[in-house]
Amino acid sequence: MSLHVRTEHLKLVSGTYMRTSLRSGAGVIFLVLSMIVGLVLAGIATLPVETLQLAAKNGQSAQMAFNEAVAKFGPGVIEYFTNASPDTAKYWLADQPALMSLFLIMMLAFLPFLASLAGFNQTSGDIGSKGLRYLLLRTERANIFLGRMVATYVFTLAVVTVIFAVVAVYTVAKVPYYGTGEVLWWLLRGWFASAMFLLPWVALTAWVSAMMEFPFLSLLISELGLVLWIVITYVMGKNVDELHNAAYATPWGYKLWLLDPNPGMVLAGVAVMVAFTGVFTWLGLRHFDKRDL
Amino acid sequence: MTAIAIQQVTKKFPRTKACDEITFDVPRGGIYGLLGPNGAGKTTLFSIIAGFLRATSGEVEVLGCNTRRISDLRGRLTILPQDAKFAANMPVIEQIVFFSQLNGRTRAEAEKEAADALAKVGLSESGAASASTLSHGMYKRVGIAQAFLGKPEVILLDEPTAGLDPASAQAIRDLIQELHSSGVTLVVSSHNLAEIQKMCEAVAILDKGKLVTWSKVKDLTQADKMQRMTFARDLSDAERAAVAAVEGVRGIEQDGPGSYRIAMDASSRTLEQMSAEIVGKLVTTGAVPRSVEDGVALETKYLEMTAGKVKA
Repeated sequence: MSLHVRTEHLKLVSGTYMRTSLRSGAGVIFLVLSMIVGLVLAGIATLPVETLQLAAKNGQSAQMAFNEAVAKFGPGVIEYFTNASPDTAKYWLADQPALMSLFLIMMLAFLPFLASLAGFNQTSGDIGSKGLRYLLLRTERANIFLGRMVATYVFTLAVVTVIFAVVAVYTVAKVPYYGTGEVLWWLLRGWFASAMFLLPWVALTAWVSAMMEFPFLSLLISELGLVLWIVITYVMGKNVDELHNAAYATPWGYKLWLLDPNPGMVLAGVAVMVAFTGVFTWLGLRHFDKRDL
Repeated sequence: MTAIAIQQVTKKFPRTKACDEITFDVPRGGIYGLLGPNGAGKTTLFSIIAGFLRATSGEVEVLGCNTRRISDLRGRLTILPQDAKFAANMPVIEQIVFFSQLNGRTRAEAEKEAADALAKVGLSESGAASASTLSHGMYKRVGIAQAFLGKPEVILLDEPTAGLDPASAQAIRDLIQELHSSGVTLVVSSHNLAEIQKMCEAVAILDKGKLVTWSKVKDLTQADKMQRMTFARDLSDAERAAVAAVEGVRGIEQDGPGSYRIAMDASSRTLEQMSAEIVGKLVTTGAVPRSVEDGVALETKYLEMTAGKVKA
């Protein structure tokens, strides 16, 4: 496998790919769709606040009702959706802004879908149309593969950043129960976790895209594969331990390590994400290097 | 000096063998043709030379570089691929600037080079258009423009004039000649055999993935050993005997109404001297040739070699 990477070519390929994607409209659709979904998740997370504020008008203290609700329902919800330990659940609910924790947990679950939506057509469309042939005599295959992967990652992360910024502004302005500093700090950590968790999924979609000649097939396999994987490991795993443990064969199983109270676990989570990214990238590169284009 | 060395190249697809142990060397500095019926393996061979397809077995070297490391040839080898698409929604000049930058040019140099390349193919005014709005002919010319980027030493042109109007096709042929005179090696695939016969020094003919021949055009058409003369009527026996009696003529054979192949031995006299004597003798009998051509048409030889398997 030829791994001759030129920084200048990576920049050129990623910049041009990003411009082409935006001009084709696919990037804009992705941006709008992601923003809608991201903000809906934020809306779901902050919805109880509005309900409690309505309750406050009936004479009850909104903050008291809010704290009661978090204490009563929070641990059960967290345990059901994340299998987190009681200590971790307490950290997310009591030590950090609970609504932001809810938003971050949902956001992390949404990111693999976002990554495959952003990255399904990294190379598959141009493999089908043979458009890459104009590049192949001018740069190494690795620069094309990695350049487009980097562009996908940067663009997706930019969208995630915008979602986080909107949520931060909204929370600081509308949710009176948390200090601005603690909201921003927790969101910043969540943003970092998202940035790390995105990496392997973008690499995985780059690999899937490099295997396909039809973008739709690449999208279908990426999204359906994810849904199937989550159903097997999460829903069916509720009853079968082995299936539950299968989640650890992908980055999905480690995503909440990135929000763990223990810094060591966070570092381990980062290492796992980097390792998965490396493996997926290597597999994708190897396939892209060997295949007919 | 060899421009392209093809050694035992085989390419298998799941249901077919597109190239079957093809071996030949293309020397530097000429125009060469790659011929064959549809599906003979021409585009596959071009794609292997350019590194788009990986050969199942065998090796290809271009200018001494193995094509598994094709990008080492950045700017020295270029190609007009047959069916490759440009990005649909991006101005063509931006795409060509991008290709030129990948060749190592700065942005300013690339912009100038792209404008020059488009001007060469008569598309100066169309640079801002997106590829999806171009006609077939214009699209093809953009493809040719990108093949002129850099300082190519070898250019592969897969059907460069197919689908072009006569004036554009002639302009492309003139460009090919211009590049040839500057020392560039060009390999051209085309179904226009008259065009290939005029332009090329040698041709490779493929059929069903196999190399049928790799020969000089002159040898294939036997241009130095044969003339075809066409008359308004068939020649009489006496006239044929008079032709056969000319010094250096080895035989005369009719291959159609009023059409004769005259085999010659050009070792002692030139073809021109023998032709002049033949024409001189026949004119006195009233048999004035309508046309005199050296050798057989490449098309005739091609049809013989591929058993007439030319498809529409």
